Amino acid sequence: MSAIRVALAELWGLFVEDATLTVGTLICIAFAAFALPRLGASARMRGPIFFLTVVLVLVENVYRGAGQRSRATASAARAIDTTRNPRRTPATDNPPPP
Amino acid sequence: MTWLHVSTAFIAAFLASLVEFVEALTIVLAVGTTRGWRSSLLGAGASAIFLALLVLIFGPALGRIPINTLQLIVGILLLLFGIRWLRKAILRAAGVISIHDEAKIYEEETALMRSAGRPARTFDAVAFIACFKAVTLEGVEVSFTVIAIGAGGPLLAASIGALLAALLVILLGLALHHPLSRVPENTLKFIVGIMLTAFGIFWIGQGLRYPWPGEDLALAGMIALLVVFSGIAVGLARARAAVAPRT
Repeated sequence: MSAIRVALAELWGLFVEDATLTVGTLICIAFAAFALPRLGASARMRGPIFFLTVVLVLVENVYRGAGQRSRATASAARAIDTTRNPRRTPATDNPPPP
Repeated sequence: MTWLHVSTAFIAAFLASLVEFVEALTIVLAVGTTRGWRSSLLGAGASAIFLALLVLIFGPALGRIPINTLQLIVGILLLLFGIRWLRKAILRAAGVISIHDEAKIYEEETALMRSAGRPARTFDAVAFIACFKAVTLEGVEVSFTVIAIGAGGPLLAASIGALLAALLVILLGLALHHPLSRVPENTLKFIVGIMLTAFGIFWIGQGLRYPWPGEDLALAGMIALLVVFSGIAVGLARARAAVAPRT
């Protein structure tokens, strides 16, 4: 039973790593399939518009992901620094301006 | 179906399979050198048979699905699969996440196998399962990629691409007996991510019966545009990562 669970988790992992990217991509597909024809986009323009929406979602996701990752890395580094030097805390490292 | 479509399918399947087979080879080599080759190769061989059975069972079933429905389903899965690779490759190129290192993975796997106790003389279950699992996981990705890329027609070209990649990696593994750490895996993943994403978008458009401007040429156009946009994304991610800790 656990082997099946592991296999299913691996299969899921093939397509989903960052949930927001997956959801964003699926919204793009739904937009292309249902909204574009109703908005009156010409048939020849629907493919290119769909392509551009996917690219926008990807670039936004990467930009946001880069910020989150580096903030996480910075706070982890600060935590290690505080553990090594208990007198130095993140608050005392960056004291508020007078 | 034009030569452009066939050659793009061949290159995409070859490169995607090359990356997956290099990863599988690293594990098989690590297990084989630490716990013995017999059980390791038996595990890898059993996995190859298992994958062949999966393709034989599910492959013909795909032929019964109407082509537009098949292209839409496969396109959605291919887009989700490809965009995941592309996102990771962009973040790696921007230095936000660490680069995939086959030599490091080889060392970690070797240490893990050594810690699993002394191997049995006749049949080593640890080596068999480790190799079976590694080859199956990477092989499922190869099978999916080949079927998805070839779903609209160029299945033969995609299959030949994957087979050539397998042969190349096996021959290099036999000759070098060392993980292929010099293969520019991250660059390959970047290229493959772009190609799979382009194929996914193209198949979805075909599945929805939207005519692509330039027909098959649209695929090449999308690949070129994705290269440009990915380059921009790398720059943006790099700049964001440099600014983010201070915000």
